[in-house]
Amino acid sequence: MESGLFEIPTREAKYEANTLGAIDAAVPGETGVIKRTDENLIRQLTRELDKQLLVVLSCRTADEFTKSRREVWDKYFRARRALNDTLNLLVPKSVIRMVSLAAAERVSEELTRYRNSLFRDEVAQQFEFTSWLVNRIQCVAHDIEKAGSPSDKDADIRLSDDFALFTAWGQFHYDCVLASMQFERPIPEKVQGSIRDGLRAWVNASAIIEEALSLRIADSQEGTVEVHDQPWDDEDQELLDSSMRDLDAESSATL
Amino acid sequence: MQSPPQLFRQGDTYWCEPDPQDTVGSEQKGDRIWLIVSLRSRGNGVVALPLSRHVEKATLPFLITVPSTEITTVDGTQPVDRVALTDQIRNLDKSRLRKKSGAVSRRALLAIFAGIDYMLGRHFPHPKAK
Repeated sequence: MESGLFEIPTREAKYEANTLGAIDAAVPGETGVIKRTDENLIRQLTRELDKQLLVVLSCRTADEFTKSRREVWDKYFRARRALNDTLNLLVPKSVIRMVSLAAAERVSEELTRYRNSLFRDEVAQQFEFTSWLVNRIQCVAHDIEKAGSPSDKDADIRLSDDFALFTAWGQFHYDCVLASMQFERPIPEKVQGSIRDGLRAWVNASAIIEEALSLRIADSQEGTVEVHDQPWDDEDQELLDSSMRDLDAESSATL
Repeated sequence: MQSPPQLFRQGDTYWCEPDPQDTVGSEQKGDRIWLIVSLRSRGNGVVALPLSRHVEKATLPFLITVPSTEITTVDGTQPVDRVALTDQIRNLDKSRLRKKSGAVSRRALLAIFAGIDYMLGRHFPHPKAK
């Protein structure tokens, strides 16, 4: 038996959230860097995504939304993955970044226009936080790329699986808000809580990718609180006492 | 009464007890625990934030929900879902943190740090712009 048979590449952890952006902006269009047939393929995948998202956006209640999400999830997930993979294979990274940045700007303008009309402010706020988190995730992913191999490969793969799961779930709900703005479809009042909960998956994704980074660099952010032997004067003590008095005064209120 | 702990760990949770000298108006809510968030401190203070069990308060995105599965307790009681009130971060007198309640997972702590960063308006430049 040839030893070459055993040279199958081992699985590597992946931390990607690089095609996030307005769905309709996923097609680079006028950049002239991809063939017409490829562009058509991307447009077709985008249309398939839109179709699934419009189905869930037509739900009136949280229960309906949950049921519908369960039904479209598989198709959505496959279409999303196919779109991400196609973009990653056919479009240069620099173009994807350029399109994502342009999309982010446009999405921010649309959010200002549609908040409180298509959805409540709470959804808009969670969406803004999500965009911030995605930016943070991309920064950490960049650091991971530079940092090299993890200290524990198995743990890294487990983290990468969790990351993929949470980003996919978060992406679905992010795409729901994008589709709502793109097609000017209001998100029904009773569905908005589910969308916000779904967007929270990005918080997990952000924590997971930081865990992955700590497998690559010495983590000084964990452990026993160091007490520094610095002067602690009357002012410091008064401020601390004041903080504690405030706390005691607030004790009857419900925190 | 337990003696004050000598060492605090980032991610541990404590009950913040009332001032023993204060006999008026110092009744603490029994459901409030404080999460140690600082890694460094000086003098008598340690920086912490409250973990409230009133999860309905998590209406703003930087108030991070911590599911019970990410919380452990030292006395074996069943943890409950909580919300990290990141905007209530403050310096606490170590001598008031007499009773350890438990800890949150590393993942939950990192999620809470993201909430704090967002609340503070920290900006992360896009990797391309770095």
